Amino acid sequence: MFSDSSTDIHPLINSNNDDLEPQIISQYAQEVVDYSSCYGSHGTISYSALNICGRPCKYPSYGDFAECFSLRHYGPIMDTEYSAIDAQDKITFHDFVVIQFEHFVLPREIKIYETYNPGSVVRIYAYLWSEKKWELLWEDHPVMVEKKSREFFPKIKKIQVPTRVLRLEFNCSLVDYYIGIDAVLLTGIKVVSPVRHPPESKVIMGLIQKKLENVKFIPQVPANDTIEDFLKNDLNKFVDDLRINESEKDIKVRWKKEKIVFDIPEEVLFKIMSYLDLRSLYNCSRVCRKFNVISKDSLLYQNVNLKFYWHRADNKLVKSLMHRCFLIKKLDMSCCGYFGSINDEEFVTFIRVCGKNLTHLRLNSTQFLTGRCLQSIAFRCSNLIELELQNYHSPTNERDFNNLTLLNNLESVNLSRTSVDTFGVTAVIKCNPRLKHLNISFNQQLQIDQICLQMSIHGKNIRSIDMWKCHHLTTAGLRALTCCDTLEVVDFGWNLREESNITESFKNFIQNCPNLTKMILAAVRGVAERDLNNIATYCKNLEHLDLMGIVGITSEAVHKILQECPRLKVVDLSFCENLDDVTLFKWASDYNVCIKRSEVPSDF
Amino acid sequence: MQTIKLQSSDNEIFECDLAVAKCSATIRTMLEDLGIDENSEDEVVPLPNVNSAILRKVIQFCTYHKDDPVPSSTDDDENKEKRTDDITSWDADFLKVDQGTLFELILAANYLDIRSLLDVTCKTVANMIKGKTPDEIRKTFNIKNDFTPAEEEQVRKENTWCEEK
Repeated sequence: MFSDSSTDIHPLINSNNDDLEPQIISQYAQEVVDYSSCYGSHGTISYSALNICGRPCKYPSYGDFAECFSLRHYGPIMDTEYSAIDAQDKITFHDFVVIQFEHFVLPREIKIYETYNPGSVVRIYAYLWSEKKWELLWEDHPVMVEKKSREFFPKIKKIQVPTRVLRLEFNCSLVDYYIGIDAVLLTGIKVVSPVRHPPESKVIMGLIQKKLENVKFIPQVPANDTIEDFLKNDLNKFVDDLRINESEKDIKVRWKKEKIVFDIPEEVLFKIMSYLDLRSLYNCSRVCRKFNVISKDSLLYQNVNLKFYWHRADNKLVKSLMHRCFLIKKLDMSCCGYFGSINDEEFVTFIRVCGKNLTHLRLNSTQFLTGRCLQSIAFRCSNLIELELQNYHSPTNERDFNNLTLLNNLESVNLSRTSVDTFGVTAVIKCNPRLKHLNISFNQQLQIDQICLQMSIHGKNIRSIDMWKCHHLTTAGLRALTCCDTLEVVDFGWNLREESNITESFKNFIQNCPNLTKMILAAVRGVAERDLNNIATYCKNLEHLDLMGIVGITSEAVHKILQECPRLKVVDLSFCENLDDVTLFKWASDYNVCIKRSEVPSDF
Repeated sequence: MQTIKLQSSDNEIFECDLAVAKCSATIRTMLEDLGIDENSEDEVVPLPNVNSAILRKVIQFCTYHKDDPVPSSTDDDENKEKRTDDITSWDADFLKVDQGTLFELILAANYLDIRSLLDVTCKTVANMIKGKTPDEIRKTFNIKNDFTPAEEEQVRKENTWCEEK
């Protein structure tokens, strides 16, 4: 774990410039370039991604600090990746943050100050400007570690190319509550600017050269002959001889009746390739002609998940996929396209050619997305059932989303942290009668009540709606949602803030939605004792209840819910002041319920 | 216990449980088509495409797996079925054989139409390919690179994204 930086440094010595002394510097993150999600809203200070910048402000304290960076989700994620083959051998990440530092360095040590529920960092990449690529510095599986703050410094790969942008990837499946990251310290050898270093000379061997190497060829030419002469006159014969030798070997193999890979019929070779991940398939294409043809079969490209290749995916890949993906059904290009590696034009062409059969499309945090992309999706992908566009901000035109009204078969739409406007969301609801899942979290620009009204008219199949931190839901919207009696999961977190009394509409809502299994009421100020009593009375199917930050509720009311809701598995009671830990601890075992409670040091 | 006689390509005769033999869809169909029933015990089913060494292995495999539940295949399972890290330790041990034998088992599984054997052998070969460079794949299976330089250049271009950087 400890990387001994003193012995491994190869200082950048520029022989022409003696005054360039290698200088080791340590720096904290200066800004956040991008992130997938954070617990807090964009632009606020509590639990926001920006808190990862600067020096640690809480470390070595341990606890749920609003001053740190916290992700929105924790625990196992049910969402399955589009390609099980690609997911199988890779460490899945659910969230990421890209941070920038002031100075370019050759990184030698990275310290991550984890102040709450550590163990979720699974990968660190560095962006190398001079080579326009991401380099993996470290990766490992998520771990369960002791619940205390830690200075995590994984042993990173030592690279000789300067960087000042790092990407951390998180997998929170093993932590049982929110994580907290206080700061990231990058130590390395300072470099004035992203100098272009000559890439290590790599000899690319051609066919002949490889063969010569294999036979340990030493040219034997008569003294008065030149090598050119040999190349001109005898090379072909020499190569032919090699070929004959090889086929003789083949014959020998056959004579022994030993089966070789090409004895396997093509349809079985196809079956073998159907077990391969995308990269292995591409590698097969380079092996030989036969493998090339089989490995390009469109049937092998029905589920393509580029999320696992985001750092490698480029225009050339998209272009070549276009020739293989005529039958593609599910495509995930989340996180692809940093620093112009993929442009929207290439994607638009791809969609035009291959989009017809797409049923599932994930473009979360995709960097190249533009209005043109959304337009081509809307025009071409009429079979889409699932569409995820999380983190797509169109700085120029929120109308980008309006094209989506051309889609009519959507069942699941994720528009979390996007620049979609109210019209865009209501149109999606109106045009997609089969809509089951809608995520519009973090979109404070939306008139939520109007959306709920639209939902009450058209959302006859809605199962889940996520409006975390949309802020503007009022009791009027809640009343409208009463019509959506198919709802199972609702996230009202940080909404209904201006309402002093939600009792009547809330009671109507839960009375009419008997299937509710998960209800997030975090920081819904108006929730009072009587509302909890109503939950106990009506929410018999409830499995997960989040009451984080609801002050003033009594232990009697919570106790009643535990008694009356037999399916309850998880209750979040963080920052509920009146409840004492001893009672909660007892309830957890009495009712076999997991009670979430954030830890805050007493001096907090 | 009802048995059946199977004859390998090199004329060895194997007597095995009918239930075991019926793991093979080919044998199942053959028996149905020929109307062979319990009364025709002397009937021998010829399997001209499988030699005795392989047939012995196949019978061993089917005997071990004869009570396995028949997998149902829905759309969700299709994705799960593509996993290659779920080979049981018995199967993995069973398949610790040289490449020639592995390929022969594949051919036999394909000819006899034994789905579970074909699945696990194909997965084993897939695992031999995974994570390897084109050159390593060639070496593993003794495959000759038969691209012309122009073709080679073309496929190389398509593959730049997945080269080890």
